[in-house]
Amino acid sequence: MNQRMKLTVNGKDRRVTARPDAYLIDVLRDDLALTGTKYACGMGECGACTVLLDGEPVFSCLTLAIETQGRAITTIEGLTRDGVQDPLQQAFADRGGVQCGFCTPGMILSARALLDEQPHPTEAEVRRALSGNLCRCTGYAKIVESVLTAAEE
Amino acid sequence: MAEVDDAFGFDEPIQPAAYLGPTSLDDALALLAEHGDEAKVLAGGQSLLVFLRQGLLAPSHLIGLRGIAELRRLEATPDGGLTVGAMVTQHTLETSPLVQARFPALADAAAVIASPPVRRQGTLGGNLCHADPTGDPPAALIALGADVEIARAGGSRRLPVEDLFRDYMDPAIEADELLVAIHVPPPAPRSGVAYLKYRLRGVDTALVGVGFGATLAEDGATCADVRIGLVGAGTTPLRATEAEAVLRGAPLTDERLAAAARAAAHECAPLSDTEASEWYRREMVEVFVRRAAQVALRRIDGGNAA
Ligand SMILES: Cc1cc2nc3c(=O)[nH]c(=O)nc-3n(C[C@H](O)[C@H](O)[C@H](O)COP(=O)(O)OP(=O)(O)OC[C@H]3O[C@@H](n4cnc5c(N)ncnc54)[C@H](O)[C@@H]3O)c2cc1C
Ligand code: FES
Ligand code: FES
Repeated sequence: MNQRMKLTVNGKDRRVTARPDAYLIDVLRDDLALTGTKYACGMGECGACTVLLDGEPVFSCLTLAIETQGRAITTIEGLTRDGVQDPLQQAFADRGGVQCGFCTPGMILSARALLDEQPHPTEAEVRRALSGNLCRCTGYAKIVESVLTAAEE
Repeated sequence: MAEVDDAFGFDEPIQPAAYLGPTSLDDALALLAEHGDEAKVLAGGQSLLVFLRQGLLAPSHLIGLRGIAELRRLEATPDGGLTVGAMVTQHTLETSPLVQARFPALADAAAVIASPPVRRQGTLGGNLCHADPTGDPPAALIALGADVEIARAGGSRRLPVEDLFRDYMDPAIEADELLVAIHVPPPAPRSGVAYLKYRLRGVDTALVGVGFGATLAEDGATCADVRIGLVGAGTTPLRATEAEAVLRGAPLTDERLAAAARAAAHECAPLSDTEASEWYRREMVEVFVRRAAQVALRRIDGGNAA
C-alpha cells in the first residue's frame, strides 16, 4: 500500500513512492539521498533533523512526508546555490561553529529561519531560536558567534 | 521504502497506517465514526509521531487534521473572550498580539513548551488531548476558566478544561470524538492570570507548573474569585480547589497566599520519578503558587492587594 507523493525539496519537485506513514526524515535520507539532514534521537529532543517547511524550522523526525506535499521543504543541501554557500555556512566555517558537524545542518537551518524573520537578532534571540538544537561539541559559544557574524554581513 | 530497523532499535509498525486528510470538520467526524477505534487523529504530530515511531501504537488509519481550515481559527468573541481552534499552533499562540495582550498567561504557557520547532507544529488541541500531566497549557487554561468543545457526528458538548483529564494520558474524549475548540471567557474586571513553569534546563518539561487567576472585589483587596491549575503535581493536570477555598472571599494578604500555597502542596499528589521526588515537587508547588499569585496580582489593573 505504498503511495505516490510529490514533494518540493530545495525548489525541485521530487516524486517518491513511500508508505503513507513514512517520516519526512526517512524519505529525505533514504529515498532522495539527501543525507545532510541528520538523524539522532527520533523524538524531537535534539534538532539534528531540523529542516525548513515553508521557511519554518520543524523536526523532520516528527513530520509525515505525506503532509509536506505542496509545501516548500528546504534542507541543508538547498542553502548552497551554484556553489556559493549561505553566509551562515561560511560564518560557521570561519568562526569554528563546527566541530564534529553532526548538529550543524540543523543549527544552520534554525538560524536561517531566525535571520529570515529577524535579520539583526540579539544574542538572547539567537540562543532562544537555537534552543531545540543540541550540540555535544562546541559549548555553543562559537555557534552563537557564527550566527551573529552572519547577521552582521 | 524498505522496512529497516533504524540504528536506535525503534521498529516502524509492520502494517503501514493509511493516511486520510479530510478538509472539513464534518468529513473528519464521519471518518471518525467509521474508523474510530482503529484510527488515530493526527494534529501536529509532536507527541503522536513519537509513539508511532517507537511502535507503542499501530493505528489502521491516521486522520490528519491539517487541511481543516475551521480548526485553525483564533479569534476574539464579541464579549471579549477568545476562541482557539484545536489546530492553532503553540507558535501562533505565543506570537499572537491578541493573546499576548489579553490572555498573557496562555501566551506564556505556549512560549515555554519544548523548543521552537516543536511549537511550530504542535497544536493546543493536540497538547490537551495528549493529556500529559506535565503539559504547560492545561494549568494556564484552568486558571483562565476555559472550556473545551468536543464534537462527534451529530452533536457537540462542552466541559470545563479540568474535567478533560480523566487519568494519566487519558483524556475524556471518546474514539469517535474530536476536540474542536478551546473557549476562554472574557477577563473579568479587576482580574489577572499568570502561568509559571519550573524546570531545571531550558527545554525540559515542567517539574511543576502553576496557573493562577484571581479576581478582586470592588474594594480592590478581597478575593472575589480564584482559580489555580497545577501540572507536574499528579497523574493529571489538576485544579487546586482546597487552595482556592482558602482565598475565596478573603483578603489577599501575603499570609493568606502562603496558607493557600501550603494547601495546594497538601492537596496535590505528585509522582516521584527520575526528575524529582514527590517531596520536592510538593515543596515547589508551594513556592510556585506564591510566585504565580504575585505575577497575577501585578497584572490586575487598579488592584492594590499584596
Ligand atoms: C521533545 C518534546 C518536548 C516537549 N515538551 C513539552 C513541554 O515542555 N510542555 C508541553 O506542554 N508539551 C511538551 N511537548 C508536547 C507538545 O506540546 C506536543 O505538541 C503536544 O503534546 C501534542 O500536540 P500535537 O498537535 O503535536 O498533537 P499530536 O501529537 O498530533 O496528537 C497528540 C494526541 O492527541 C490526539 N489528538 C490531537 N488532536 C486532537 C483533537 N483535535 N481531537 C481529539 N484528539 C486529538 C492524537 O490522536 C494523539 O493521541 C513536548 C514534545 C516533544 C516532542
Ligand atoms: S532526530 Fe529529530 S529531533 Fe532528534
Ligand atoms: S559540532 Fe558536534 S554536535 Fe555540534
